[in-house]
Amino acid sequence: MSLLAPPFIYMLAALLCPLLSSRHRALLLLIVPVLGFISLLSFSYGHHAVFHVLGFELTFMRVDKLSMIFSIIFSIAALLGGIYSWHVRDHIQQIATLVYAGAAIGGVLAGDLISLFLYWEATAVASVFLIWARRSAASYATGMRYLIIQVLSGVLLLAGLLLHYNDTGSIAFDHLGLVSLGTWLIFIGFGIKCAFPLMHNWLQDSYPAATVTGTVILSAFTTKMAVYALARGYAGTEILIYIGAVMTLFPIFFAEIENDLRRVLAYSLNNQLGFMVVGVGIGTEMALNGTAAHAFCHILYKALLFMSVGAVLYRTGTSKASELGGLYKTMPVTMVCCLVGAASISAFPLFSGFVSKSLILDASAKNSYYVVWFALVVASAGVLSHSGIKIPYFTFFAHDSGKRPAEAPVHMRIAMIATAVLCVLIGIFPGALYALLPYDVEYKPYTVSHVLAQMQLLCFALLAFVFLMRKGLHPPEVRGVNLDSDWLYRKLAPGLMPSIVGLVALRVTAMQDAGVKAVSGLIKRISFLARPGGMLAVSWGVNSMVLVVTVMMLIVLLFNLL
Amino acid sequence: MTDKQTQKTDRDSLTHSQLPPSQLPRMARRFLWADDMGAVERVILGLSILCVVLFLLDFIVHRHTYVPGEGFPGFYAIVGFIAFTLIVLGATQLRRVILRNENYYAPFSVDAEEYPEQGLEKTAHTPDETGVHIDGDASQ
Repeated sequence: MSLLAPPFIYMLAALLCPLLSSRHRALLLLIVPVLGFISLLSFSYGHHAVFHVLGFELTFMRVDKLSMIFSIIFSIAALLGGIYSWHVRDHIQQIATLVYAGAAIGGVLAGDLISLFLYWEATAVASVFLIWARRSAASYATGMRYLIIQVLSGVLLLAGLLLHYNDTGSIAFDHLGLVSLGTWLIFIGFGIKCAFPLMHNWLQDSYPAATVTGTVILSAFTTKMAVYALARGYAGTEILIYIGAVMTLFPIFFAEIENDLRRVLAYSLNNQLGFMVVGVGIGTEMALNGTAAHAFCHILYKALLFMSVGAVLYRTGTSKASELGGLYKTMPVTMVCCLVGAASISAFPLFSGFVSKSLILDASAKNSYYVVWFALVVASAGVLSHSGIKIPYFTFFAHDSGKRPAEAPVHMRIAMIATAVLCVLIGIFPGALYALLPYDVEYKPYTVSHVLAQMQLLCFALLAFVFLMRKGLHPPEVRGVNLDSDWLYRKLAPGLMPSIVGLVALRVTAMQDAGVKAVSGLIKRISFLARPGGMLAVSWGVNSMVLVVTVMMLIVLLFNLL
Repeated sequence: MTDKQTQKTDRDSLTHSQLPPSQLPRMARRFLWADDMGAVERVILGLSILCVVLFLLDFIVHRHTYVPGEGFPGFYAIVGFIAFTLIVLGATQLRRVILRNENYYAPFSVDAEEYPEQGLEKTAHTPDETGVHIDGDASQ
C-alpha cells in the first residue's frame, strides 16, 4: 500500500510518459491527480511509507490534518492544471508537470527533513522545465536564474538539516523554531521559496517567462509548499508576522505599475503569501487555520487568474496590459471567469477570499497586533487595486485594443469555469472548507459587522479608482520594465564584475612584482655574504663551531621544555 | 490588389473594426453597456449611492470591533478610499524612479521578446451568425 502513496503515483506516471502518445500523456495528466487523491484518502492519519535508509528512518507519508489539506488542494490544482493544458503535446512539459506536482505533494507529506529535502529539490528541478519549455533564449536565461535560486534554497535546507541533526540527533520535521544556526538556515531556505522580501525576485522574474500552461502549474505549488513548511516548522515565530506584513504591502506598489499582467499576478501572489506568513507567525489555532484556508482558496483563485490571462496570451500572443483591452467582446467566458477570480482575491462577500482572509485578520486583531492588522487592511485595499481591478479592467475593458481573438479553447474554458465554481462555492458554503482545517473551527465569516466592514472597504476603494481615473491620476499602462531588487544581481553585480576583476588582476600583478623583487634582493644579499672573503665563505674554527652547535641544542631544549 | 492582400484586408477589417453586436458571442452582448458612457455613468452613480448607504449604515448598525478606532463611523470607508488613493499615487511616484526601457535586461529577459508562436493558437473570433470562419492571427 505504501508504494501507492500519492507522490509515488505521480513519479511512476512520469516514468511511463515516454512510452505513451501525446494524447495518452494528456489523459494521464487528468487520471493521475484523481488516482493520487483516492490514494491520499485511503491513508489513515499517522505515519506511512516509512523506509530505513543508511540508518535513517525516512517517513514519506505523514498524514495529519495540516498535511492533508495541502495535499488535497495540490491534487485539485494538478487536476485543474491538467484540464487547462489538455492541448499541450510537449512531453517535456507533461513530464515536468507530473514530477513537479508529485514532488510538491511529497513535500507536504514528508515526515522528516531528509525526505522533505529530496522533494524540495525535485520541485526545483522539475519546475524549471516549465520555464525552459517556452524554448527561447530569454526563457533559458530566466530558467537558469530561477534554478540557481531554487537550488540555493535546497542547499541551505541541507546545510541546516546537517547542523540540526548534529545538534539534536533528530531528522524529524516537527516544530523547529529559531533556536540554532541549523534551524536558522532551514528557515532561510524556506524563506527563499516563500518569497520573503528581498528573496522574492525569482517569483516575478520566472513566472511570466514560463509557458502559458506552465505559469498556471507553477503558481500552485512551490510557494505554498514553503508556506506549509513554515507552518509545520516555525508556527508562532514572531518575526514571521512582520516579514508577512511587509510582504503584503510592498508588492502592491510594483503590481500597480507593472505592464506584464502575468508579472502583476506574480506580485499579487507574493502579497497573498504575506497574509499566510502573518498567520504562521501569529501561530494560534485560529491563525494557522487562516493560513491553511487562505492557501486553499488562494491556489484556486490565483490559478483562475493565471488561467484567464494565460488564455488571453494564448489567443493574442501578449499578456501586456498596454497591448490589451476590449477583449470582453469576443472572450466573454474568460472575462467572467477572470472577474470571479478578481472578486475572490479581493475578498468580496460570497467569494472564497472573504471566508479565508478574515480568519487571519481577526487572528491578528485578537492577538493585539494592531499595526500588522492595519497593514493587512491597507493591503486588502491594495489587492483590489491590482488584482481586483487592474487585471480584468485593462484586459477586457478599458481602451479597445481592436483585438478580436476567439474565445479560449473548450478545455481551457472547462478548467476556468470549474475553478470559478469552486471559488464561489467555497465563498457561499465555507463550512466544507472549514471542516478540512487543521483545528476545529468556531468561526462565522458572515456576520453583519464583517460583511459591512468589507463592503465599505472595497466599495470605497472602487470609488477611489473611479475618482483617480476621472482625475487622470491613475498610472497609464506603458511598455517597460520596472527595477526591483533583482537589479542587484542582474545589472549591478555583472556591471561591476569587469572593474572588480581588473582591480584583483592589478593587485595580483603588484604582488607578483613585489615577490620577484624580494627574491632577487635575497639572492643578491646571499651572494654578497658568500663572496670571496665574505662571512659565509670563510672557514670557521672548531671552537666557534662547537659554540654554535651548543647554542642550537640549548634552543631545542628550551623549546622542548615549553 | 492581389487576392492575398484582399484577404488580409478583409481579415483586418474583421479583427480590428467594430463588429456589429449580432456578430459577437451572445454572452458578450450582455456587457456591451461597458462601451456606453451613459450606462457607465449610471453604474458609477449606483456605486456612489451604495457607498453612501454603506457609510450611513455605520450609524445604524453596531459593528463588533477588536481594534481601537475600528469602531469610528466610516472607519473602513475612509481607510479604503485613502489607502487605495495613496497606493496608486505612491506607485506612480515609484514608477518615475524604477521604470526602464523594455530592452533593459535584453536579451536575458522575456520582456523584450515576443512569445514564441509554436506555443500559441492565435485564432480570430468567428462571428456567430454569419458563420464566416476566420482563421488567422488576431494581433496583426
